[in-house]
Amino acid sequence: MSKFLSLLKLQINSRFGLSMARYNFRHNRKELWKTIGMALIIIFALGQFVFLYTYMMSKLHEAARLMNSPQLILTMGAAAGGLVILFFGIFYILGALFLARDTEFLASLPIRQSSVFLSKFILVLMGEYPIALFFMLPPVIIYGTGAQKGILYYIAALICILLLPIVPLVISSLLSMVLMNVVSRSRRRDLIIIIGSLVLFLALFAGQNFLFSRIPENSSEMELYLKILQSRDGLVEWSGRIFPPSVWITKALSHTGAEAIKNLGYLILLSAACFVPVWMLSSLIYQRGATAQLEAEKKTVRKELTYKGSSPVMVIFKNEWKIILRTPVYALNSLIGIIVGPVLMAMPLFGGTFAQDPDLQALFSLIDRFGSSSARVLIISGVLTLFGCFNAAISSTYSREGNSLWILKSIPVKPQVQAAGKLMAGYSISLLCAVATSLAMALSLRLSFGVWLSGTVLSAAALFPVCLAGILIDIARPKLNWNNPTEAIKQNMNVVLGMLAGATVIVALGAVSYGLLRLQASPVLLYGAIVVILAALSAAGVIALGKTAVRVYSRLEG
Amino acid sequence: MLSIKNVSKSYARGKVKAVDDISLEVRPGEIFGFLGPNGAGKTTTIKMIAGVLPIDSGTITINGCDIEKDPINAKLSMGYVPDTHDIYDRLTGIEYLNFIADVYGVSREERKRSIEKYLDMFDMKQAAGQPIKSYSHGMKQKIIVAGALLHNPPLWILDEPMTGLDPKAAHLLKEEMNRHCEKGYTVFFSTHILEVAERLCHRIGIINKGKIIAVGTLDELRSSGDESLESIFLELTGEGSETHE
Ligand SMILES: Nc1ncnc2c1ncn2[C@@H]1O[C@H](COP(=O)(O)OP(=O)(O)O)[C@@H](O)[C@H]1O
Ligand SMILES: [Mg+2]
Repeated sequence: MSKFLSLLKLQINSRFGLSMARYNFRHNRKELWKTIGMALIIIFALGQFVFLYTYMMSKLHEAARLMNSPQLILTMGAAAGGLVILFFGIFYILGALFLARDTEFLASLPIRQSSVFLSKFILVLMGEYPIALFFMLPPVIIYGTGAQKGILYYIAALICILLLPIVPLVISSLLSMVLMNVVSRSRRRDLIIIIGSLVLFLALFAGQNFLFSRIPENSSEMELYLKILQSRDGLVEWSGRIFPPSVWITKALSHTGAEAIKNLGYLILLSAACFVPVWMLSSLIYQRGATAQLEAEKKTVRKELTYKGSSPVMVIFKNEWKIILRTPVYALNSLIGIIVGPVLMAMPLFGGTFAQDPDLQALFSLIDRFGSSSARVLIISGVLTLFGCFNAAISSTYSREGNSLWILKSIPVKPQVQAAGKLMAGYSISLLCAVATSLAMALSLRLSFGVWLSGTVLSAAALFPVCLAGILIDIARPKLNWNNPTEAIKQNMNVVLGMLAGATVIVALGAVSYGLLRLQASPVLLYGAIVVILAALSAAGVIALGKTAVRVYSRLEG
Repeated sequence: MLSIKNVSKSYARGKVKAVDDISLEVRPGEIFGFLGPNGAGKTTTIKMIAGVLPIDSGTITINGCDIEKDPINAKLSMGYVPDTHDIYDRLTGIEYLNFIADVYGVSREERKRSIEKYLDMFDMKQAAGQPIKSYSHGMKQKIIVAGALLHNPPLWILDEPMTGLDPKAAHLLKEEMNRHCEKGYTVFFSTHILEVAERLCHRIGIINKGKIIAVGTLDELRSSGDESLESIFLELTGEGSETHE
C-alpha cells in the first residue's frame, strides 16, 4: 500500500478505535455493550438538540416562504455550520496537528511532512462531518421535500456538505501553522501557544465581523432592503455575507442547470484554491511547528523552591489550576468557555448588524419576547449555565492524573477532601466562565443590575450540581491509561458525557420553569421550585461524591 | 556510516545546551555504545540522529545522507527505537508492524519473513493479534524493536533498548546486534547498563553534561591497568564524588 494511504488508514483506525472495536466485538462483549450503551446515551442526549434545531428550521422555512425565499434556510444552515467549524476548528486543528501524541513517532518515519499534514487534516475533516451534517441535513431535507427536489438535488447536497468544512479548516490550519512557527522560535512555548490560540480565535472573530458588517455604501437603508427583497436571491446573498460559501451552496441547491453547476463549481474551486497553497506551505513549515511542542525551556536561574504550607483542599485546588495552566491542551480545552462565552455575547457590541446571526437572533428575540423579568432572568441564567458547562476540566479531573494516580492514593489526605479540592477547581472554571459571559451580556444586552445579578447567581447555583455530575462521571470511570495529555482530555468520553449531563440539567430546569411560567406561577414559587431542585441535586451529588471517592480509591489502579 | 559533526542543541532555544558541540564517527561493522549519566544528553543526541528534533548547529549524516537536507533517505537507512513506548495502543501489534513495513516499502515476501522472524524470536506470535493497549511494558518494547528492525536497515539507533526486556529477550537482542554487525552493518545504542556495554561494544563514547568526554575501545579507555568500565565511568563523569558530597 502507498505510504500515504497506509498512514491515513492507521490514523483513522487509531482515532476511531476500529481495531479496538473489532477486537472487543470478538473477545470482550462486555466492553462492546458498554460502548454501545454509551453511544445510545449520547445519541439520545444529542437528539434533543437535533429536534430543537429541526423545529427552528421548519419555522424559519415557513417564514422564508412568505418572503419568497424558502431556500434561505439552506443559507442559514450552511452559514451556521461553517462558522461553528471556523471558530472551533482552530482548537481542533491545533490539537490534531500540533499537540498530538504521535508527533514524535511520525517525525521519525520516512514520510514527507506534507503527507503527515494531509492525513491529519483529513482526520479532522472527518471529525467535522457530524457537525456539518447536523447543521445541513435538516434544512436540506426540509427544503428538498418542500420544493419536491429529485435525486440530483440530494447528490449535490451531499457534495456541498462534504465541501462545507474545508474552507474553515484550511483557514484554521494556516493560522495555526503560522502560530506554531512563531512558537518554535520562542522560549516560553506553552504560554505562547495558549495566548496565541486565543488571539487567533479573537482575530478570526473580528475578521468575520468585519466581513459581515460591511454594508454596501451610498445606498439608503430603504433602498438596500428593497434591493434585497426584489431579486430572487437577494435575501440569501444578504444573509450569506456572514459566510460566503453558504451563498454558493444555496444557489447550487436551489437553482437548476447551468446556474447550479456554476455555483457548485465556485465552491469546489474555492475549496481547492484555499487548500492547495496551504498544503504546499505545510511541506515547508509543518514539522518544525509540530516538534516545537516536544521541547520546553530549561532555565539556568534556579527558582527558589517554596515550602509554604496550605490546607489540603487548597493544595489540591491550586495543583489542579497549575497543571491546567502549564499544559496547553488542558488549558485550551478547559478554559475555552471563558473566552468563547464573553466573545459570543459581546458580539452585538462590535458589528452593529451582527445580531443577524440566526442563532443569536433567535436568542435575542426569545429574550425580548418574554416581558416578565423572571423569564428574562431564567433565560439568561440558562445561557450562562450552558457556557459554564463547556468545561472539560471538571469531567477529566481524575483522568488527567493518569498513571500518577497512585500519588493521590498514597498521600495522607482523605479521598473526600481531594474530591472537594478538585471539585472547587473545576467549579471555579465554570464560575469564571459564567461571570465573564454575564458581564459581556450585561453590556451588550443592557441588562439592569438586578437582572444581571439574579441571572448570574442563579447560574452559579445551577453550575454546582452540573460540576458535581461532571466529577462523578469522571471518578466513576476515569480514563487513566494514556500516554499523552491530549488523550486524557480530548479523547475522553467523560468530557462529552459531562457536558451532556450539564445540558440535560439545563433542559430539565428549562422544562420545569416553562411549565410554571405557563401556569402563571408567582416568582416566589418559580424561584423556590428551582432553588429546591438545585439544592436537592447538589446535596445528593455531594453525598454521592463523598461515598464514591472512598469506594473508588480502594479499587482504582493508576 | 553515522557521522556527527559539531552538533549542538539547546531545548526551546534556551541558554542551557543539552548537547554541546559533539562530534562522533561510527564505522560500518561496529557496535557503538553511548554511555552517560541521567540527563547527559544521550536521548537528545539520538533524537537528532533520528530526525525528530531539529539540530541547532552542526550536521549529522547517515549512510551519506544529511538528516536535515535529505531526511527521507536518511531515515530509510536506519531503524530507530525510541526511549518511550508511546505508540498507537488502539492498534494490534500486527497492524502496527504492517504499517511500518508499508512506510519503509518492505516487499510482501520480505515483510512476512521479517515479521515472523521477530515475532518468533520475541515470543510475540500470540500477542500480535491483540491491541497494543493490552501489552505489558516489555511487550511494547518488543513490538517497537521488531518494527524498527523489520526493514533490515544498515544502521540501528537504539535508545536504552534493554529497559523493560526480560533477560531472554535482552539476550536475543544482543545476539541480533552481534549478527547485524557481522554483516558489516552498524549499531549505535545508548545504555546505562555498563556490563552490556562492556561485553557487547566495540567502541564506547561517554557523554556528560552534553559533552563527549571520552571515545574509544575499552582498552583505549583504560588509562592504567585493568580498570573496570564502571570505575572509568565514575571517574570520568564525576558521579562518584558528587553523590558522596
Ligand atoms: N523535552 C525537553 N525539554 C527541555 N529540556 C529537555 C527535554 N528533554 C530533555 N531535556 C534536558 O536535556 C538534557 C539532556 O537530556 P537527555 O538527552 O534526555 O538525557 P539522557 O537521555 O542522557 O538521560 C537534560 O538536562 C534534560 O533536562
Ligand atoms: Mg535518555
